[in-house]
Order: sequence, then C-alpha cells, then structure tokens
Amino acid sequence: MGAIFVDDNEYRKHRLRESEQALGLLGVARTDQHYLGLPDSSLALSKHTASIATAIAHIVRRDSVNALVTLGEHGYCGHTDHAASHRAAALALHILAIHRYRPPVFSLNQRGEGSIQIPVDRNKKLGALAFHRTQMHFIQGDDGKLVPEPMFFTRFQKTYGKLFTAETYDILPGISRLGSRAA
Amino acid sequence: MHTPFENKTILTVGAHPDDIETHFAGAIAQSSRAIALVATDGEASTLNYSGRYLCRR
Repeated sequence: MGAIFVDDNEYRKHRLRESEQALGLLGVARTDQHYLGLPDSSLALSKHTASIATAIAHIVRRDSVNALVTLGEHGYCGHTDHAASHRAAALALHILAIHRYRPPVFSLNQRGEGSIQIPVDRNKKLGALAFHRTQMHFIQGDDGKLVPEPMFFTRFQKTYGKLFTAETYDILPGISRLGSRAA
Repeated sequence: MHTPFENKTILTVGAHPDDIETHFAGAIAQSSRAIALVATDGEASTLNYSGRYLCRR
C-alpha cells in the first residue's frame, strides 16, 4: 500500500518536503538545496540539459564550488535523467571555462571500482531515505497503523548495495589535469 | 583517510528527489559544505525506480 496523489502540485509539495528533510539530515542547508522542477524523463531534451548546465555554472561561480559530484556517464543505473544530469555537468564545464573556472568533476562509478573510495554511514543514508515516505510501501501493523513494509529497504539495498558500504568515484577524463580556480 | 572532498565545497547533481541521498551521502559527509541540485519535479524516484511509481498523472 502506498500513498496515491491525484493532484500533481500536492504531490510535488510532498516530494519537496521529503527531500528537504532528507537532505537536512545529511547536513545540506535548506539554502543550499536547489530544485529546478523540470518534468521527469525530460532531462535528455537539449533545452533542459542546457538549463541544468546553466544552473550548475551559476552555483559554482556564486558559491565558489570546489568540485562537482555526478551520477556518471551512464547515470549509475542507466536512467536517462541520471545520465543527462551528468552531461549537464560536463556542459557546465564549458560555460565555466569561459570564466576560467575549472572545478574537477567526480562521477560515481557504477561498478564500485572507481579510483576514489568514500566510506558511507549506512544508517545515516537509510535514515535520510526514510523521509521519502511517498516512495515506500506500507503494510498494516498489529495495532492497525501503517508501517513501512519490512522488506522494502532490504530489496532496495540489494539493488544499490554497493552504495551502502562505499561510494567510488572517477575523475572526469581530461579534467584532473586542469587547475581549479575555485579549489 | 584523505579524500578529495575534505574541506571542500561540493555541488552534488541529481535528477530526482532521493538521488542525492542514495548516491552521494558519503561524499556529502566528507565535505565541509555540500550543495544539492535536484533537476526534476519529483514524479519519479530512485527509491521506487524498480517498482511502480506511486504518482498517477
């Protein structure tokens, strides 16, 4: 059993609130959370990829960002939106180069074989994900209240298991040799 | 262990709400400041990617 929203705007508000809370738990300030609101499954459209790239370039310059972190060329799981978000970051580098900014781009390695290994606090990651209640399945508990289906996170970790022990990253080819004004 | 994100401001780029949490929580923890960019309006999610989407459009 899951929540069903028939009103798109209400659903978007819920998703936004969930994301705000989840990212807040990880230490991302609300003022550092940026939601572009583009339609799902549309990021591969060139106009949307370009608008994401423009937003990335703007944030990098305004906040003196030292490094970009992306889902990788294949979007980690192959989702077209994921891959497009990575391409947008690569496109942003071209915009930034005009302004002599060259932040390195670290892309997630889907095989867990990246040259950079980052340890993960599994419980904290799960705690953050637990805020996304609209995306979870619920069952009726003994007291009649709805509780998350026990196997939900188990199945999720089976699919994304590597990410619950370590995140591994590659540096985008051609970028590591460049200096970084922002670094 | 030294990582490239220590004492750095990083910009994490995700497509859906929950992408940042699923994929980049470790990098965020290592950074001194993490900024998150979520590109879509949140119809889909990585959490529910392999299952049915709960939003009806």
